[in-house]
Amino acid sequence: MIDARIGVAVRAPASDALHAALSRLAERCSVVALSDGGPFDAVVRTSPAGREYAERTVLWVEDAADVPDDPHAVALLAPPAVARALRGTVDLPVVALGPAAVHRRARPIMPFTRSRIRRARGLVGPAVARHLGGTWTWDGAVLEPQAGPTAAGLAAVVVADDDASAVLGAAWSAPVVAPRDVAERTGLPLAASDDPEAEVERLLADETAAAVLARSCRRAFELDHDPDAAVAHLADILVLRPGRPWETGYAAPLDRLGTPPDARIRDRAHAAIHVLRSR
Amino acid sequence: MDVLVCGAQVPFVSGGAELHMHNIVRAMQEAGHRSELVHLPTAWEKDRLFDAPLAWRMLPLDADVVVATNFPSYFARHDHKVVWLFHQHRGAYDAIDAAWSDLGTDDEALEVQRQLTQWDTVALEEARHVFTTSHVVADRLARYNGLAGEALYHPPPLADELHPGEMGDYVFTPTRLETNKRPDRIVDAMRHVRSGVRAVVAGRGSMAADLAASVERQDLGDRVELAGFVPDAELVDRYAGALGVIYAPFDEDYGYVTLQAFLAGKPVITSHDAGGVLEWVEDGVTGYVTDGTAEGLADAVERLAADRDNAAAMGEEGRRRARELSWQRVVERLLSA
Repeated sequence: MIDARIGVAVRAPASDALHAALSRLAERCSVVALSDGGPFDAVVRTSPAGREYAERTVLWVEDAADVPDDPHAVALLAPPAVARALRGTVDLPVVALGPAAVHRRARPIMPFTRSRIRRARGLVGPAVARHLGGTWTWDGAVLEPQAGPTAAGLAAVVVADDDASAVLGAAWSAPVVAPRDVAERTGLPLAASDDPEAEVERLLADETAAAVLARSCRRAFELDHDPDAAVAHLADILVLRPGRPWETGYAAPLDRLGTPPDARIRDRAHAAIHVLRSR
Repeated sequence: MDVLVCGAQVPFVSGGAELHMHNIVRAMQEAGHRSELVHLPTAWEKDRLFDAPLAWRMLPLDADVVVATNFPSYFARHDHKVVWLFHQHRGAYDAIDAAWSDLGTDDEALEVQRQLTQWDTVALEEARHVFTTSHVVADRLARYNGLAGEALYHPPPLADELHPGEMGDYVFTPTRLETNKRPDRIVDAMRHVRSGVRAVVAGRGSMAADLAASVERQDLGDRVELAGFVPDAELVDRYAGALGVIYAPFDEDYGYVTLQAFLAGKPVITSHDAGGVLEWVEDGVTGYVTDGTAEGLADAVERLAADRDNAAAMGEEGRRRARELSWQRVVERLLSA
């Protein structure tokens, strides 16, 4: 949860896309109608306020070709596809919200770590995971469907032919090779060539290229497919700091770093807080 | 502007990184800014590895700009954070298989390495810009974290004092006497040198006793001088009077010795796997790049001895290149990011 109070001042009826975005926001912070009264850390609006308000505006945009000019806007909020079209064309930061969270248990595993895990597990071979025609394979051997996430998390390269498997690979920080239409729909980086097997060979031979692609894929996932990351990004834009650190402790900064719930550092931080509170 | 320079401090250890941090502060002050150094202790063992990064996250850093340097100081949070990366925790990356790294391939260590990679990536991506001390450091950042860094070179310590001198009868190596610096190869090389050129190795470290024993065992007492700690004034003189400098560490981040040698007008003999040193030593132009073996290093020493005019010319080219470095340019670049 983000310690933020977001006001909403939008024209009714709200579109499905706006409703989805506000739902994602409400799952992660306090979202209230403007009429409930401030103070607000920001106000989501569908059109410029018209007069100056004390609160910062987050402007909702559903058409990349029609961005209202609002001098009080500190960020734009949009569905993922629109957000992708906006980025790089506007001076304001763009936050994508809409679809519900997916792959919440995925942990980013970069290629160097993957190679060490495979070494520890005795997994030899190129380690190329492919999702083609609804079937996962590992170096040509067919896998059970439920092995998809494991393959996405350990493979040196993931070849995906549909949106779901491409996003799964990106969630695990795999270097994902996908067709152009899949990449454009999901926001994943486009492959260097239209020949997937040639791209696989290139990535297997160049660990730096694989790492750069892996990070780009994971970044695309965080930008467009991970509402937790999107709302954290919004919190950064609004320069929100934990309002009650004596209550939240180290939780917020640990969450911001992507620390798993069972990480030992959480226990150490909790123990440190406990020592400070003891009488 | 108010500029805070952030760096990690391993208690009771002071070397190039610590000196570099102080030099950044001084350069900022000389450029007219208020600048101070913020130090936090750190620990490298995997059980305490995340303590200091988390502590950096919680610090209030009231300044216009924060310049973060080595791990884990770049975990500091600031709206205008610039990273000038000395190095990450190498024991989790390129040196993970070294004897001193405690990150093996058990499940716990694998998860620690994975988590540190993620933490590093989040912290570094927050920066307005990531500079690195060399292309070697930038290459590691790309290879392990998939992130881009811009190499930003700086002058070495004693830049204003170093000066050329005669092309003397010894090759000089000032270095910590540690395994990664490979001073033993220099001692072994002298067994193959027939021209009468001597070697002077200055510095302290864990290999001191072994090196002394090796000199005695190989009967090289008349050809190898282990000078121990050398104060700055003597260091400048030793550089000035050398025929050349041997500096062949393993995968160095940057390599002050290289630039100090160049500023003294001396060519540098190095090894093919010396890392950042190779961004400066151009084979046959500013020195020699060898295979790093005792025979290879010795051959390069003999080549210097056989053609002192060429040795001087290579040293002069190195000096020309090194003199292009300036702290003023560094400050401008850091603060314009």
